[in-house]
Amino acid sequence: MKYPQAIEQLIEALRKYPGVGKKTSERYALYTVNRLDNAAIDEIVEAYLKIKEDIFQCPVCGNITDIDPCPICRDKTRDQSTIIVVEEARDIIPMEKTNNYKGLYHVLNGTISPSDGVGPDDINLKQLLKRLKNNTIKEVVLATNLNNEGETTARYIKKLLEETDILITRIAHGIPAGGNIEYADEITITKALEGRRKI
Amino acid sequence: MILKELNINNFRNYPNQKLILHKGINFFIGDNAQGKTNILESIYVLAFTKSYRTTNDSNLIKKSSDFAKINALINLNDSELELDIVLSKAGKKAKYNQIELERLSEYIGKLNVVMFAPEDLDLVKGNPRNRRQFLDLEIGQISSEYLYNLKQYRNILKQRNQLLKSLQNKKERDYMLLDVLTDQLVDYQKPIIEKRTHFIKEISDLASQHYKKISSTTNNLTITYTPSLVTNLRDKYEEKYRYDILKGTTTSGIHRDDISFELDGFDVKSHSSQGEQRTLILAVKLALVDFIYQHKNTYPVLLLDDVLSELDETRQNNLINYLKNATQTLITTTNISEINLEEIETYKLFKINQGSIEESDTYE
Repeated sequence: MKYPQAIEQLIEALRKYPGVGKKTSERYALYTVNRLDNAAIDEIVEAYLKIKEDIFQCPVCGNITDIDPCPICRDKTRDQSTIIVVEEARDIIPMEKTNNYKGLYHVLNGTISPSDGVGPDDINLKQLLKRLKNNTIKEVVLATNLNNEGETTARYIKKLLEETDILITRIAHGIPAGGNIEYADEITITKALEGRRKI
Repeated sequence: MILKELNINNFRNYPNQKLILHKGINFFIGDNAQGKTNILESIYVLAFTKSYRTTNDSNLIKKSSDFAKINALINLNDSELELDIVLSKAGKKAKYNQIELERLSEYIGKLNVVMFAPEDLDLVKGNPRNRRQFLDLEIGQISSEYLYNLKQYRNILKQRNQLLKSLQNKKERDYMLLDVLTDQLVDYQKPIIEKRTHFIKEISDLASQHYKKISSTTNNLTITYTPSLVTNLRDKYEEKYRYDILKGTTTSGIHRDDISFELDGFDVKSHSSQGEQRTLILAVKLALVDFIYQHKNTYPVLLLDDVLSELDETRQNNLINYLKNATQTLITTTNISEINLEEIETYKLFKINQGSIEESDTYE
């Protein structure tokens, strides 16, 4: 048996979410039909429309925002001389939670990965170079993830900025705070030893 | 390291089998296709979580069963440890002392085994890929850092090859990303070359001594590591940028390494007999036993599948005489009529007939 076309269409649409397969999307679609009243459906539709109308990427830093520029970029009390470069907008939130960093951010919205068809031109890099041209930036902190793609991206950016006077730094990796050395795996310990510093 | 007790359920042709093993030599005697090799294979799977005979785990599960289970009690430096592997269609689980380990990489290395299988002749006769697999498997047993670097290397290699392909169609080539990926490739590669160099150096001498002992000759066995790149890796890659782009693949690096075997300066692949090649592989395996002892401070369990069949009587007895004082060994064979059992003392015989195993004190 086939569902009416409207339901089939909803099932297909819901499958766009990560982690939602055929079974799950079918369950959500039927739940929508059987259990949600018109008011609930309107609420969802309205929320989606608001996302479509109000949310966009900050043209300055690439963060997700509903004002142009985003609250971080427009806050002139923040330190205008440092930029932390992150892969995704969601990486900003844990950094902001520390309350220790008062500088700026730049969101790449991806990492360089030729095997996924993503090259340097496909991530938000040109805008970063543009931001660095006005000479107010003194330090760029590369906070891409500590996997191979994150490392490729970080090293690429470092090469791009080699000719400038900007200080380029990379976040450290090693044993987590409050972590026991005993429980750390050998690779983490090797990295922690490589990144040791004078005290 | 002594394997005291082995329990296998629904593995290959065994529904349910318990074996109490001797700490010396364990002979598994039976005709062809009775299930001798399956016993050794189960121990191999317990050590490496995968078989050397098949890449598809469902081949290991007994027909009409949903899962296969291998359990062992092991004596290590006076303490006892228990290992479990469960294979099912949903995947595999590994337990160490009843605790399930999240990552299989944590598990590998808990049980050390050295295996001789008829397939190992590929080490000499086969292509370089066989020899690289040998390097990776054996070095991986003593170094998880090696396995990590290898995994990262392969990941970067894939990225670099894709980039090389995409550069083929471009008129204006931007080499900056190629520079970055080449740097990363070199970084992961250096410690791998280092480990491979040391490994071959160590086992070459050991294997040569074992070869002389088993063959009762003075022939010198040398194993040589022939890396694709040795020094100035970065420059050598850069010289080949154009060539690599033309080919659309990375034409040099540890994925092109090889090793070679020579007896008194002659290449074994083209100059040695089947029996000599077999003895050579055996000598390499015995060298690995020493190698693991030197790095882990405990002897591995030695698994010898059908090793006697192509050795002459002298070589058979040389081997057994060496093994009786060396390390716990499991040997499969169709007959042991040429072995002097009186001289061994520390052994146990298992007779295998159509998947049923019987312990026996004598051989007739």
